[in-house]
Amino acid sequence: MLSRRQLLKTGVAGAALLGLARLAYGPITPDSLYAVPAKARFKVLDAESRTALAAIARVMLKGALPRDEAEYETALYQAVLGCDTAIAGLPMGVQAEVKELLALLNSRVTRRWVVGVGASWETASDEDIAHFLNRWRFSSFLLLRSGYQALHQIVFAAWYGNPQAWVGIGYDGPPKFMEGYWNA
Amino acid sequence: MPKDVIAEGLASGKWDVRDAATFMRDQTLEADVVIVGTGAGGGVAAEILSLAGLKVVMLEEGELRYASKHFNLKEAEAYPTLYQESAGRQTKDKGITILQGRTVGGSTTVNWTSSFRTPPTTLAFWRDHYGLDDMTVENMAGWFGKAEKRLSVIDWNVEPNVNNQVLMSGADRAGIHWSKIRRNVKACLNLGYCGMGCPANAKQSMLITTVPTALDRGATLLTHLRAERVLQEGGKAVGVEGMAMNHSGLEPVGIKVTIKAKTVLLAGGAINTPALMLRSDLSDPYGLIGKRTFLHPVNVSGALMPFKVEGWQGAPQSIYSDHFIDAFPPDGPMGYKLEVPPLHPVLTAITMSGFGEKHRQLMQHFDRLQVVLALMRDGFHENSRGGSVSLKADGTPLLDYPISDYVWRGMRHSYLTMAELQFAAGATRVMPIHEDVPGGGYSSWAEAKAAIQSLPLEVLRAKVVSAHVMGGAAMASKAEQGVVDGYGRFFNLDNLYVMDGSVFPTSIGANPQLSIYGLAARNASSLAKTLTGKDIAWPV
Repeated sequence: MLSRRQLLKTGVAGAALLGLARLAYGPITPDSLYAVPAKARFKVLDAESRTALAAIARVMLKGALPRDEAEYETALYQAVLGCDTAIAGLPMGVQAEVKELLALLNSRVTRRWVVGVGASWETASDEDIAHFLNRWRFSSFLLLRSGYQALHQIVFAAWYGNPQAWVGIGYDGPPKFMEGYWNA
Repeated sequence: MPKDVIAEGLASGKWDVRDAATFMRDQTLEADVVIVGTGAGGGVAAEILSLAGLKVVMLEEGELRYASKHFNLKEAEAYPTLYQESAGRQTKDKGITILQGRTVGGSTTVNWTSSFRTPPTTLAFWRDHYGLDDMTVENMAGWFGKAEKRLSVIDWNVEPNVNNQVLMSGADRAGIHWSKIRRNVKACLNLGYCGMGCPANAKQSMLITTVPTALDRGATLLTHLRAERVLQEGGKAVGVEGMAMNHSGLEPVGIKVTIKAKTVLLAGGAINTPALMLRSDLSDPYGLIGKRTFLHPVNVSGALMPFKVEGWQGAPQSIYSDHFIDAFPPDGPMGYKLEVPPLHPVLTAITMSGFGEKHRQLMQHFDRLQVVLALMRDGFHENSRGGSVSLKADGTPLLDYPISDYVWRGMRHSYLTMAELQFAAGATRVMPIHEDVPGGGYSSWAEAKAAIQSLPLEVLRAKVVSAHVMGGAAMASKAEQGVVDGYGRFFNLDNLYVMDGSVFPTSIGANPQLSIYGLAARNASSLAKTLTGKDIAWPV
């Protein structure tokens, strides 16, 4: 893991970090796939990003995802699909920034040294992922904090935007009586 | 069967509404006045100028979405379709997330209906510091009165929802004064979904009031059209060049639309109007375009109540407190206004800090969650100079808004106030929305008080949001101090006007919609008189 001093020496400034990592280590070598079925429905997320986001969402949504195994897989898949929808709705410039972030998560080198997750996303433990999220969340580097906040925003918007996720939060959804309002 | 004014207007065959996303080739239109933006400023101006008999063309980057066809109360659909940048527009360092509308009606289609006249202190500050001598309370009162009449701004006498009641009772017990918020609604169903577009057309937004009148009077509305630059010729503004956007509004489709007009009126809202001016390479001898952009930066405090709050139900904002606006003079400590937001799952989940079990435990109590907001009155003190709009490489705007220590001090003060009043109202836990606050927050006012004193205040730790963007094309009596004069006339090019929230030389210190309506009505009426020689009776 890079120490704070090493990071400072590398001249951490915005996305420059990503650029540096890529310059230094060449093209990104992605992890193999997490068990998220690849379907053509994804608009922006490639297989590697889906794997990384599924692992992150699994930890961020702990307690929110259903316990039943089959339901769990479907729900996690829905969450990643929701992330894809959320990202696809962002302006192109912002989408480019999110893709930079995903590239950082996906590259073996940056995953290990900047993200701080040694194992592939497929095999990383919940503890490792939670540790990474908290490290970024409380980092003294604005860039890493903004990376955490972006993931937080994308994952939770994706999850709670789905009516299926409202079970257990005491919210029944918008008032049903409005559905036929204009045809009454 | 209720009637939707938009559906009927479209069906009548009399409206000229064109979706630029469907255009197959470049085109040119002509108008007396081209208005960029259909929000609070553009909507009012379009109505008044159309009533004067002028041929108006309205440009809107968003889509024409309306109650009977689109407004289904779902956040997941509303945010990407009705807001700038999917409701996730951010400042340069990503420290502040901004809610701003991008749809026909602009932010008025998605706002929470809170209606305040420009506070007397704010007008006095403008007179004293920006030479806007005639902006007295008396002179402006007539315009606010007209706007209130036109847009049905009423006393809201329905019982406040529990979220607002907590603010009220907590304020009472903490010795802080509060008042009721007036709202621009007719036959409001008290649903609580204003932010997703009013599904019953109760909210008197530009979408269902002024824009339809303008269309009835022969105006043209072009949607999915991003204004790219103001066209200039011989020291005059002569039109606007726009780019047709695709249906999602995310990408230009490569079709150019030119509107030639004798008068160009910018009302794309703060951030977007200054950005359009910057893209147009307008003369800016004092470097003022985009500067002094204000946000009413907001910090947030959550609380768990021992009773149901269900903050998604009922008029979102009906109670406010100006205690700490009134207590502090503009040149004193940072003043702030207290209000509450509506609580819906997506906005709540992304606002609450933390993740995993702790986040979920909070969401499990979503129905007992109460939230108070503090809106900083920025722009009045020399240590609160707001932000600055510049252009990204792709020409889209970027707001750099550094939060000064002076503003942070106001936020710490307000975290304390909000926690005190939430406990006073019976909260069992209070959690300032800040990453360093432990999951579950604090269990007593004493604990909260001690902890808040030492919270590190920096961006992306403290949650800071904004729903009010103001300034960036400030009005002043002299060109050294402002981009436009008090009537919205641009100082450095003839026939170019700005009539939206970007003309405010400071923040308003209150939710800004009515300030924009009143000022736009005054300035558009003046412009109508200039162009036609007629006095326009408004509202009709």
